[in-house]
Amino acid sequence: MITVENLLKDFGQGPILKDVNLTFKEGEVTVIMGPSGSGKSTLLRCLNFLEIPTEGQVMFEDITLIETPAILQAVRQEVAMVFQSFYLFNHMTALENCSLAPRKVLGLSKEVASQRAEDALVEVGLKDFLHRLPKTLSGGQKQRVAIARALAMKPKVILFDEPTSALDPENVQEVLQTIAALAAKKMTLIVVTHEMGFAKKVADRVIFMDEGNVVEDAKAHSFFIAPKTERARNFIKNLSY
Amino acid sequence: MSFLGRMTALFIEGYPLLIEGLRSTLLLAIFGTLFGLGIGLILITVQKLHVMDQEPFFKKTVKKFNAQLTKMYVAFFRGTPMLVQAMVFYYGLNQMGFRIGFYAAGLTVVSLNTAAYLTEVLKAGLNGLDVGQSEAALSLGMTHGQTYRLVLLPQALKNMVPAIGNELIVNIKDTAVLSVIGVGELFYMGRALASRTFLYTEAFVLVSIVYLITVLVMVELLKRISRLSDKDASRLLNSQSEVGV
Ligand SMILES: Nc1ncnc2c1ncn2[C@@H]1O[C@H](COP(=O)(O)OP(=O)(O)O)[C@@H](O)[C@H]1O
Ligand SMILES: [Mg+2]
Repeated sequence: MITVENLLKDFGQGPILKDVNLTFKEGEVTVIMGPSGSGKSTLLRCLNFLEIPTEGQVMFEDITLIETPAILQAVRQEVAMVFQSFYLFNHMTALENCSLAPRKVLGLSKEVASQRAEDALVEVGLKDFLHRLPKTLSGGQKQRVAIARALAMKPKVILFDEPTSALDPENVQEVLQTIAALAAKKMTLIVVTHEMGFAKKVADRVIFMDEGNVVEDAKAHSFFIAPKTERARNFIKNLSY
Repeated sequence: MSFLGRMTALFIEGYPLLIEGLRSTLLLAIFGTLFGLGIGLILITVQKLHVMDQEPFFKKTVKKFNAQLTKMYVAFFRGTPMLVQAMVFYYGLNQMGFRIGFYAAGLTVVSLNTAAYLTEVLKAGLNGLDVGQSEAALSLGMTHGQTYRLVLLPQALKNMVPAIGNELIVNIKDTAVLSVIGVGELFYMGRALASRTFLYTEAFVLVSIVYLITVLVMVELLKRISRLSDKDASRLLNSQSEVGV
C-alpha cells in the first residue's frame, strides 16, 4: 500500500534518514520504535510528504508522491496523521474540527460532513463532547478528537506520531484503547510509540530504527521475544524498567 | 467669573459644535479602523501567499515582489507621522488635480495608517500560531489557501480582537491631527470654539474632557464585548459538562 524506496532525508546537517526501504501492507499494524532522534518522526512525515525526501521515493498505492498540489492533496486525503500534540483547530468545536476537511476537501454537504464527524466522534467515545472547544477537553479527549478528525476522512492509512507521549499517565490508556479498536477493525495503522504493552498486543510488525537506519523489521512477537540486534535488546530492556 | 463658571458657559455655547466634532471623530475612528482592518487583511494575505518550488519563475517573482511591496507600505506608514501623511496626501492629490474632500482625505489617511499597524499585528498573530496548526490542516488534504483561510487566519483574528480595540482607541485620539487638513473633528471644533471666544484654556480643557469620556466609554464597551464572547465559551462549557461523563 505504501512503498518507500531508497529514502534519504537531509535537513542540511547530514542525513537524518539513510537509504530506508520499506513496504507497508493493507490491514497491517506497524509499530515503529527507536531512540529519540533516530528519525521516526521524519520517516512518518515523509509518508504523507509533510517532509519532502531529499532522495528516493515514496509511493502510495500506484501513485508516486511528487510535490504537486494535486497529488499531495489526493494522497493526504487517504493518509491521515495524528500528532503527538494533537494540533486541534482551537477555534472550532470537536464536531467542527472533524467536519471541516470532509466539507472543504472532500466537498461533502454540511449535513453529510457533520454526520460523518459525529459518527467518528461517537466511535472514539466522545458523543457527549461534540460541541466542546478543545481548550475545555482533557489531553486524552483532545487526542481522541484528533483521531476522530482523521477517521472522518475515511482514510486508508492512519499515521500516529507518539500519540500518547504528551498525555498525563491517566489519559494514556483511553487513547491506546481507541487505537487498538481501530486495529481490531483491520485498519492500516503505522504507529510510532514506546508503549511496549500496546505494541505487544496490537502490532503485527515492529520496525526498530537507530540513527536514521531501519535496524530491525520483524513480526511483533518475534521482535519482543528475540530481538536480533544488541541495540534493540538494550532498548527494550530500558523500556521495561 | 470663575474658571468653572467660564467652562460651563463655554459648554452651553459650544456644545453643538463639540457634538458635531465628536460625531466626525467617532465616524473617522470607527470606519478608519474597519477599513484599515480590511486593507490589512489584504496586505497580510499578499505578504503570506505561499510560494511553491515548482511554480513558474515568473509567478514566483511576482509573488515575492508583491510581498516586498507590502513590507515597504508598512514601513512607510509606520515610519512617518500621520500628520505628515495627511499633508502629503491632501496637498499632493490636490496638486495633481484630484479634487478630494477633507473628510475623504482624512478617512483615507486613517485607514491606510491603521492598515499598516494591523498588518503587523496580523503578522505577529499568524507567526505566533503553532506550525502544527498548518501541518494538521495540510495533512488532511487542505490546500495552502484553505489552510490559511479556514485555520490560520480565524485564529489570528480571534487573538487580535484586543489589538483592534486598542487601535480604535488610538484612532479616536490620533484623528485630532486631521484638523491640519481642515477635517472638522473634535479638536478642530475645539479650536474654532477657542478662537471665537478667546477662552483658549477653557476650550481645550473642555475638549480634553470630551476625549477622555469618549475613550473611557469606548474602553468599557470593548471590555463588555470581549466579556460577552468569553461568557459564550463558558456557557457552552457548563451546559456540556452537565451532560458529559
Ligand atoms: N525540520 C528539521 N530541521 C532540521 N533538523 C531536523 C528537522 N526535523 C528533525 N530534525 C532532526 O532530525 C533528527 C531526527 O528527528 P526525528 O525524526 O524527530 O526523530 P525521532 O522522531 O525519532 O525522535 C533529529 O536529530 C532532529 O534534530
Ligand atoms: Mg519524534
